[in-house]
Amino acid sequence: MTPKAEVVDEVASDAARSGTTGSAGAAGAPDDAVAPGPASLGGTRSDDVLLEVRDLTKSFARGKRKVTALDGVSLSARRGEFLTVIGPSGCGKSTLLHIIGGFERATSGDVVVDGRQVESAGRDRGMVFQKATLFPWWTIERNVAWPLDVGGQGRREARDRARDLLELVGLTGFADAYPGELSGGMQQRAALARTLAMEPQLLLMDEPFGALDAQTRELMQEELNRIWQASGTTVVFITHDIYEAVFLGDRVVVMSGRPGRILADVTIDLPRPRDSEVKGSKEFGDYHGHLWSLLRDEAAKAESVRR
Amino acid sequence: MPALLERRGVASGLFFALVLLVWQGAGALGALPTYVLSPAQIVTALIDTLVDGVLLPAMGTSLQRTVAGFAIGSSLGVFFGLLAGVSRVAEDYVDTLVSLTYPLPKIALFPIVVIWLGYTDTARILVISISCFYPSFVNALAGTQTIDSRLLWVARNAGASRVRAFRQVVLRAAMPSVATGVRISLALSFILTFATETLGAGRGGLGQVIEDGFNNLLYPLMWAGIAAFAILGFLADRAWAGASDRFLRGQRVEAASRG
Repeated sequence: MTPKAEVVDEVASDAARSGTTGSAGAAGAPDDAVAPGPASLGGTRSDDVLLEVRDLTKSFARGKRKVTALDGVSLSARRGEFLTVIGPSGCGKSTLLHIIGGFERATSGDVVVDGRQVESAGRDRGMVFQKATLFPWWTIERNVAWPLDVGGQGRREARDRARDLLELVGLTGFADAYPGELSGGMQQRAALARTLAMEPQLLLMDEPFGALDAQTRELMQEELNRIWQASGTTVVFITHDIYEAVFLGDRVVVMSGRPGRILADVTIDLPRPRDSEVKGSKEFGDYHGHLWSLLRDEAAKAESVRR
Repeated sequence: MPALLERRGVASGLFFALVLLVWQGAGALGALPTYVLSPAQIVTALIDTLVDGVLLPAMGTSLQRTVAGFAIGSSLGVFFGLLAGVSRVAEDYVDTLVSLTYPLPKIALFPIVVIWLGYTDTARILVISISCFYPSFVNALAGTQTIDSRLLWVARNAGASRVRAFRQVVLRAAMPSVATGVRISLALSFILTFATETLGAGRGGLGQVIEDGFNNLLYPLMWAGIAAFAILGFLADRAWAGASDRFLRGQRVEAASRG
């Protein structure tokens, strides 16, 4: 099976702007593009779309130089979809996520979540950072219960819910531990549970496994697959790891080096639920090869810029 | 034996005992000058001054001044330090004032305060307070400035109000630094108590005990006063460190895990 790719050009981003997923607009794409998208994911009714990013641009001044981090980025995600965003380091993918989360402001362009314009941070968009940002002064349970506490839930209710969430992420028995007593992987599970406590419509994950060792990362990817399927939330997951992007994603959005633009939007048509065996399959290898061919030049460019 | 030595506290305890032993040995061999007492002689002096009723009232007087000065100075220091940490206006005004006066030895203000208030307890407590203010202020301010901005994002994400974010995130994150500043203030309060008790009339307190011993060549009296100060200071520091370690347990664990 050939990986299905849609290289997003002007036409495609126009399509995204008009509320479709962009899968119809791959006309005039380079030879490796396959259009249109698969019928199973081809539902383009706009009420299916949860996240809509339109022509996002972000630039800022660094000293006297003007740096453009994002340049006309458009993408969308359907309800319940797992979207991975991949790109060379410094391509602005974290900035993109921060803008969707409402933590940073775009220079121009729109972010619409569930029909509402994003103006600031909110509980409908839960953020998970690369480093687990747990409050070190509270126990794991208190950390996970905190957003519920903020949301006005009663103590006992919040506590019970926190216990359930800790069970979901596999941390039963660690409720009374302090974050500093847990490994990096366990801390990240707890941070995920805390974010899930807000019941976000959209889960924003910024290279959440980037700081973990290779084996822990593999385990966490499988766990996340399971948790995502159990919770049914929509996920935007940033990574620079192609394996991770393919293994987790329904779609992989490929970004170019700075200024960040969208190079391609690849639908990953691998059966779910996925387990580690899928990583050894031929299809998986094909997707990986295809994405690497797209990223290779960008990665080399980013590398030479840094030197 | 090596395993026992590795246990925390055992090796350092043995080292302390060794220092005392050498000190005591030097005393027994007559190698110490007359004005340096051996540990055993100091213990005897402590007991004697306790029995004849000199030491306890002096300790009470000193401790009152120390506690009052420390409590006023460090609480104001923490308050203004945290305020400067969250308010740009407060920082501009207070921090400039503080950094200009920071290097001044606060005891140098004692004569001025005495002209105003006389050789009174109030004058002494005021100078101790001023001195205790600084470390508490500087560290409280630093505590609010070094907070991980991602933690504030977490609070924003959850929709926490500014008051809640301050109370449950900024304040908690600043606490280890606050505790360090207060601990320095605590040590300073004893130093300043001694200094103010060696000057002028109506002194009382351990400072006067030490001075009396010095002036009258009563070395046991002098050493009893010094030892009493050391004991009070040590106990106060242990108590503060123990209490703050318990309160800050999660953060201590985290700091330790970061190595």
